[in-house]
Amino acid sequence: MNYNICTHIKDLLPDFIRDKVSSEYSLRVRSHLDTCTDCNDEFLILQKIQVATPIPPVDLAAKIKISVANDRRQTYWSPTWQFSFAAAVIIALGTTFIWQRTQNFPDTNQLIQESVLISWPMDDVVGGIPMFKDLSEDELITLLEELDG
Amino acid sequence: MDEYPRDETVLDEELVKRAQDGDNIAVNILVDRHHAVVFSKCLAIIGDEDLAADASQESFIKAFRSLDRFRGDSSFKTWLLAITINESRGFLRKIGRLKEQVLEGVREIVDPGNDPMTEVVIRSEADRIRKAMSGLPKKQRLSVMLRIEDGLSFKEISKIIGSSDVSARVNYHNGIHRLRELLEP
Ligand SMILES: [Zn+2]
Repeated sequence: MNYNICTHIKDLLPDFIRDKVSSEYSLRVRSHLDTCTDCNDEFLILQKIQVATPIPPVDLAAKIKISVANDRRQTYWSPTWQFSFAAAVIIALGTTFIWQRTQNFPDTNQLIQESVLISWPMDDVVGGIPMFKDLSEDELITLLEELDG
Repeated sequence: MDEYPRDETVLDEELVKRAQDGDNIAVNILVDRHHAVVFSKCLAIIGDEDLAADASQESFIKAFRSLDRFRGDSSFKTWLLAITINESRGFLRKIGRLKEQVLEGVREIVDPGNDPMTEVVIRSEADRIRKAMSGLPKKQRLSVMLRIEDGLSFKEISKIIGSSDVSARVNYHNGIHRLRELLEP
C-alpha cells in the first residue's frame, strides 16, 4: 500500500463508480484496485452505499409538482398579494398627499417604491440559499429561527 | 405544449431559465430529475419517511419561490440541495429532534446478531448500509452522501454544509472510515 497513491485513488473512487473519470484514468484505477486490498475494500463499500440510496414514495414527484404549481400561482396572483399591493399604493399616495400638504416634498415615485418594498411578503427570502453558504451551523440555525419569527 | 424533450439533452440551466419565465413544464422536469436526491437528503437528516416527503415538498416550493435569485454561481442541483438541507434542519428543529441519534444507529449495527428483532429490522444489505449511515455524525453523513450519491466535488459539498473544502474532504474520509469499521464482516 502506497499512502500517497491510495489517498489519491480513494479521493477519486466516487467519480470512478459513477463512470465520471477518463478511460485512461479508469484503467489506472482498475489496475490499482487489482493490487491493493485496502482500496478495493473501500471501492466495494462505496458501491454498496451507492446502491443503498433510498427510493422515494411513488407519488412524491406528483405531490411536489402540485404543491409547487399551487404555490407559484398563489405567490404571484393571490388576492392577498393584490390587496397588499393595492393597500401599499393607497397608503403611499395618502402619505404623500399629507406630506405634500405639510412640507413641500413631492417625491411620489420614491415613496410608492418604498411602501411597496416594505409591504412585500418576506417568506421567500428563506429560499435564497447562496447567502447561507458562509454561515456556521449555529449561525444558520439562529438565522432560520429569526426568519421563522 | 411540450416543446422540448424530457431527456437529459436539455440542461438544468436551460430548464431553470424557462422556469424563471413561468414555464411549468420546465418546473415539472426539474422535479422529476431531482426529487429522488432531495428526498434522500431529507430522509438522511430527518430519519422519518413521511416527514422527509413533506420536507422535500417544502424544499422545492422554497427553491422555485426564490428561483429569480438563482444566479448560476453553482449548479441548480447544488443550489437545490443547499436549500433542501436547510429545510430539513428546520423540520428537525420544529419537531424537537435536533440532537444526533448516533448511539442508537451504531448499537444496532455493532451487535446485530444477538437480538432476533434486530435481525428483522436489518432485512437487507441496503437496510444495513442505511442504518450504518444513520449512525454517522451529520456532517460526515452528508459529505458521504453528497460525494457518492450525487457525485459532488468537495468544493460543492463545502458550500452546502458550510465548511471549507478541506473540512468537507476530511468529513468524507472520516465517514467512509467509520462505515468500513461498521460494515466490514
Ligand atoms: Zn490503494
